[in-house]
Amino acid sequence: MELASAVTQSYLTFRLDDELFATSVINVIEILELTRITKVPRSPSFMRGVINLRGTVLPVIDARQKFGLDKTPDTVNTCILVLNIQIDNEKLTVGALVDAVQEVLDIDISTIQPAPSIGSRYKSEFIDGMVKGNDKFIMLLNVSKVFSSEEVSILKEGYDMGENTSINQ
Amino acid sequence: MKLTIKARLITAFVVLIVLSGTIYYLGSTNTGILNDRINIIVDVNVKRILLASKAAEDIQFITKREKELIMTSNQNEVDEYIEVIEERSSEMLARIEQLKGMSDEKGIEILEGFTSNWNNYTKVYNKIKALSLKNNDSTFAVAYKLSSTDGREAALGAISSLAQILKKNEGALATAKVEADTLYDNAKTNMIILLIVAVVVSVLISFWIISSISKSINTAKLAIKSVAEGDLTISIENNSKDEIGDLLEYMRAMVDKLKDVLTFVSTASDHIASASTQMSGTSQSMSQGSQEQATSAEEISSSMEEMVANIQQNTDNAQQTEKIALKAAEDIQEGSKFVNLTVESMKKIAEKISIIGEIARQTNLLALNAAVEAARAGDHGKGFAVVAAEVRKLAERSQIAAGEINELSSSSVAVADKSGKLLEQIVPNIQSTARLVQEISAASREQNTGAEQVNNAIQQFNQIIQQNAAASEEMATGSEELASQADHLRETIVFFRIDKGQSAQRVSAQKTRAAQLAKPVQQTAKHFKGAQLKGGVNLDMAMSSNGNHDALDNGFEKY
Amino acid sequence: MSNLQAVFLAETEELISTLESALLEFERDLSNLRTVENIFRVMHTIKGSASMFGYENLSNITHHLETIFDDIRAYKRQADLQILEITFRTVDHIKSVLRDPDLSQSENKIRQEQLLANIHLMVQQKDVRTSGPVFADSTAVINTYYIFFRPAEGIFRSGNNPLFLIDDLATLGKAIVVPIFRDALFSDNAQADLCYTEFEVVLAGGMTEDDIRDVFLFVSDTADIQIRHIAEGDLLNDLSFSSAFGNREQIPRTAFGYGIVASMVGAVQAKSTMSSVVAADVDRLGQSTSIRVSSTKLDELMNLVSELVTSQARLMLIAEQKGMPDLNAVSENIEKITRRLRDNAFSICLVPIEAVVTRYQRLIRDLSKELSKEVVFTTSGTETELDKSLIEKITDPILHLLRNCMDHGIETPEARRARGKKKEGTIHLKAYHSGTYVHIEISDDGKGIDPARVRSKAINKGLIREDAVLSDADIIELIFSPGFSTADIITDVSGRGVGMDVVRRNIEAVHGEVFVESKLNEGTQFTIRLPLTLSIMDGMLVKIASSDYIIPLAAVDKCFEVETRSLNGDCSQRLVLDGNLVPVFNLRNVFDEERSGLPITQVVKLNCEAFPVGITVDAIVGEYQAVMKPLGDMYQSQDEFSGATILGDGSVALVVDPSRFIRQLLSKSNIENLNKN
Repeated sequence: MELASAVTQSYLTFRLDDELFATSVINVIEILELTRITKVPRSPSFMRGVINLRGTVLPVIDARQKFGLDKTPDTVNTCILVLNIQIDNEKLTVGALVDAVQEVLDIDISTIQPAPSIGSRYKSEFIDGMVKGNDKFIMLLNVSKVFSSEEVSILKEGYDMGENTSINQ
Repeated sequence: MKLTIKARLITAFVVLIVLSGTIYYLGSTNTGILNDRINIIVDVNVKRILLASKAAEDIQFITKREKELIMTSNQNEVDEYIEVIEERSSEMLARIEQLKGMSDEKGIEILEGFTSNWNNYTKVYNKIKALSLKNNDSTFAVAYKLSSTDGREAALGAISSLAQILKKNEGALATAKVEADTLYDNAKTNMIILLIVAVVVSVLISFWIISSISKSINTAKLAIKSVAEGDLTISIENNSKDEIGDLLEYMRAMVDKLKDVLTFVSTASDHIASASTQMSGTSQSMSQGSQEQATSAEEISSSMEEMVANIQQNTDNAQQTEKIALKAAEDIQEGSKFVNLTVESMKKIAEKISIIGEIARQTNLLALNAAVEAARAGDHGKGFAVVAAEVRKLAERSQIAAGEINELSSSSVAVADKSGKLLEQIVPNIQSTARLVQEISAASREQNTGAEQVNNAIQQFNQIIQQNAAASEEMATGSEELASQADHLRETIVFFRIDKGQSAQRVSAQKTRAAQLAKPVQQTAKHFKGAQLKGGVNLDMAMSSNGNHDALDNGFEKY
Repeated sequence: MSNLQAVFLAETEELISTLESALLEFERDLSNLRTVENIFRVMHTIKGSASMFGYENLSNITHHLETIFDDIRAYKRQADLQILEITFRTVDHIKSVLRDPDLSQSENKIRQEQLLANIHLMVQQKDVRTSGPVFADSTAVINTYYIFFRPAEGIFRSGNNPLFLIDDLATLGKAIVVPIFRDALFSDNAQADLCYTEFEVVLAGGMTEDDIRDVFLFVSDTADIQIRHIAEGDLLNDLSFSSAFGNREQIPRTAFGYGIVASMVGAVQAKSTMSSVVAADVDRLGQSTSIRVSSTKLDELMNLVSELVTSQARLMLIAEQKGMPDLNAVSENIEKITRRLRDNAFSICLVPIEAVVTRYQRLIRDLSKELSKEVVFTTSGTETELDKSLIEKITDPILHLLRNCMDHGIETPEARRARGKKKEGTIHLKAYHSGTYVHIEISDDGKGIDPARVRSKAINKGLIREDAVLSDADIIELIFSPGFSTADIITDVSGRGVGMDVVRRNIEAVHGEVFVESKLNEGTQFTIRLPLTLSIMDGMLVKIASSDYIIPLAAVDKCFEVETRSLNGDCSQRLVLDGNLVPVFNLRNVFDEERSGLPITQVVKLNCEAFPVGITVDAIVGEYQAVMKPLGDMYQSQDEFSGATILGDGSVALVVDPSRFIRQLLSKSNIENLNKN
């Protein structure tokens, strides 16, 4: 993180339910429309399956489930964010199913507030910070951590609504 | 008592027939009696004589054969002789029996004598026969002896009996001849008396009948003669009660009736005269009616002309309307098609717009991707990031616009759909209108033909009016004729005298009156003729107004 | 580096590999002049292209080396092991010179000079007869003789059989024997105990005329024998001559006679001076029919073929949906073409294991020298083909295993003798197909792995606790543990302890497995099992619930139909299929799907290692060419799927790894059974 006040960073904002999230565009490869997802049997339910990304097979993770939201039917706005994430120094490409993609925002780094350790639903290690949008706070996510986490939900213990199983039995 | 000529004639002939019958009866009765006498002579007496003489002949034959029997010694001859003798004997006995049947008492007495003699002979013969059968010389002698004695005696006795019979019957014949002569003389006298009576009676009856008829016929002749001369004043006298009397009676009735008839004819001609006056009045009113008819026909004709024109107009208008309605229906159908097409197009537009929306959405996504890419490129991508943001905004705007267009197009699709449906609903109405108009047109055409028919009818009507005029003319002449005929009648009737010359004057006065009445009738007829002509011209004009139509019709027929 | 230069380098590397294999062949049979010919030609080519590309040093040294083989070729000198040794060294040197053409590294320069000097020396020594082990008792002179042999008619009576004589004759060298039957044989007077046959033989070899006369020693008095020298060298090598001589009418009645044969020889020799040039040209032409292609291009080709296959599947789908007969016909045609193209592309990418065997041979040869161990390296089934990329990935692990065998397995000749074994150790490399796998076995008859030593070592290294109870097999498995090395002295060959775990990891990276079996003092056998997962494979497309799966066609034994209601709700049950009781797994249940609503369920019988297993599927869509795509690390735990493929409609189908899948199902059912019990 640079300290210069004028330094901005681009973030892609997306929506889950009513909440806005953002991720650094560095992590984003592209945004896809929802296509048919092939379920892989006996995989955790937040793993929606695999899709065909121009000839390669891309695993898709349901961000809603990851964020402890109810499963809702997919809409026309449902998108797949193709993300580059880092697990144990290994680069990995995954798809994240989000309700809608908003826009690319240039965020002045200085405006980023630290994630509140109290009062947030989410575990602090997944949140890089918060920024105030038009009239809403936008959570800046650490997608590498969010989507590489083997935990089903990134909710805090108290908020955890999902099953308490891990990916690798 | 009424003695008719018929009855009188019948009586006369009956008397004459009775007389002639009596004469015939007398004659035939006498002849019958004579005939009976002759029959008795021939059938009884002559036959008795014949039979008796035959029997005598038989006896002679038998005795002769008996002698030959005795004489012969040949056995065969004996048998032959015996047979002949016995056969002849039976024949003879049959004759005797026949004779016996027709004999009177005296005769029977004589015949009994014959029979006893014959029986004696038979006894002798039987002895001879037995001897002959022995056939020897001794027998011969005996037989001969017997024959010449006993046999001869018996045979002679028999023949004498027969001779008695002959004698008796010859006497009966002579008596009968005398009786017949007397009978004939009596009958001749009676017949002459009767003939004289009959002639006298006939002359008397004829005279009576002729005198009674000729008097009545004379009376009738006189009466008919006066009627033929036209004098009906005669009175016919009648006293006879026979058929001629009846004839006279009827004649008198006829004259009476004739008198009545003539009187009636005279009154009838009076009536005819008054009737022709009345007829003349009727003719006048008829003429007047015809005139009115003619004017009416004229009016009808012109009205019809107008009507035909109107109907033609109607027909044309109806056809025009029909065409327009059909065109309108077609146009609306076309319109509805176009509306449908429009709806389709709008739907397609909506689809395309949704594609555009989709594209806009994808563009949005693409722009986002581009923005991401640009952001990742850092400073180098700044400019591009701006462009991407612009593109994204544009995409967003076009997405919104597409959404709006989509809404609009879907609403206009609804509107167009509705208008299409409405149009589709109108189409059947217009079609039914067109159908109705078509019907009207057809009706108009029918009316047209109807009007033509009416025109034809009027023409016929005109003809009838003409005929009527002719008829009233004829009627006028008819009534003139009638008047002259009535004059003639009167002149004819004058010939008859009924009440001494009164009737002839009355008839002539009536004649003048009838002639006066005939004149106005002729005038009305003339006047009517003029009106009739005028009406005919009018009709022709009506026809000429339809001339075009007729020409068309002709043209049509030519096709 | 220009393209041409890259081509040159690749070509030269291949040539060197060919050269090496030729040299190894030559080493086994020093008398094989054909190999010499080969070696010479390869060297000549290397020299030519090297000078063309400005590799002067390379060209220079190759030129000198070539001279030696030219001499051998021309019988001017005999091949010996010394020559071979120096050739091998030069070849190694050439490899380094390729990377350092200007000899900028001093060691290369020094080596170049040393080798050049050695080669010069060798060339000058050519007349000196060194007693090579192979050519010791043979003359280098090869001659071709014409022999006519007409045995006496009564030869059988004297106890001789002319055929035995001919056989003896054939042992002297290469021979073409043409029997000639005299007409008398076919006459009615022919007698069974008389010989009517004559023989015409062309014999080539190092024998002298006397050698030939010796064969006929016992019959020379009675038989008619002609022996004529017709040419120097091996005339039978000349195909035109040998075929002209050998392939006559089926049973010739008359002999050619010397005159005709001599004239034939004259014609052949006149041509041969000319044809040597032509032959070289023909060889060039023969080479030009195969072109070298860079592996990246091949990969690209494979990718394109994969794309084509996927697109073709899509086309097929569309054609089926549209129901247009023309389109269908075209689509079917394209399918055929694609299939052929795919197979062709595969065959391009498939390389027989033989291609790498040379390297192993060389390695073992070098190591045996270095370690002073005598080893015979034998191979079998090297024609087994593997995907080029796969081979590349397993070459090093195999190399490492061989090295281990040489280093740790095979004992020194002394030790072997002490153990009563042959002094030469044997290493055998065996490759074979088995189902959907390729097995590569590397076995030695060395001392084997001592479990006790492994154990103590593992305890030393802290891999296991001292009181751990392990079977011998488990202990031997420990050699694959990271940081395990049993060699007491760390040699430069092996024993750095990074070997076996890397071997295992590399093999597992290509979905392979490696097993080890060992008997103390008898030997060790490593088995590498590689799935025959090609980048495109023939599979059977099936549907289960809403998902599509591909089962490799090789694993499918047979398909059956059963009524769905005959399936109980359990994961597994036994059904009688083809008269056998077969365990059948209800995949809808296994995959946590609802029970099938279809009246009929398909059962696919799979070939499993031990016994057949059935799996239920909703529908069998049909055969499908699956282009394999990795499923990704996220699904590492779902290893029953070896990958995924893109279907014609763009959706993804999972490719089942039958053996893993079945193993999982079995273990799962075992667990279930245990739970039930």
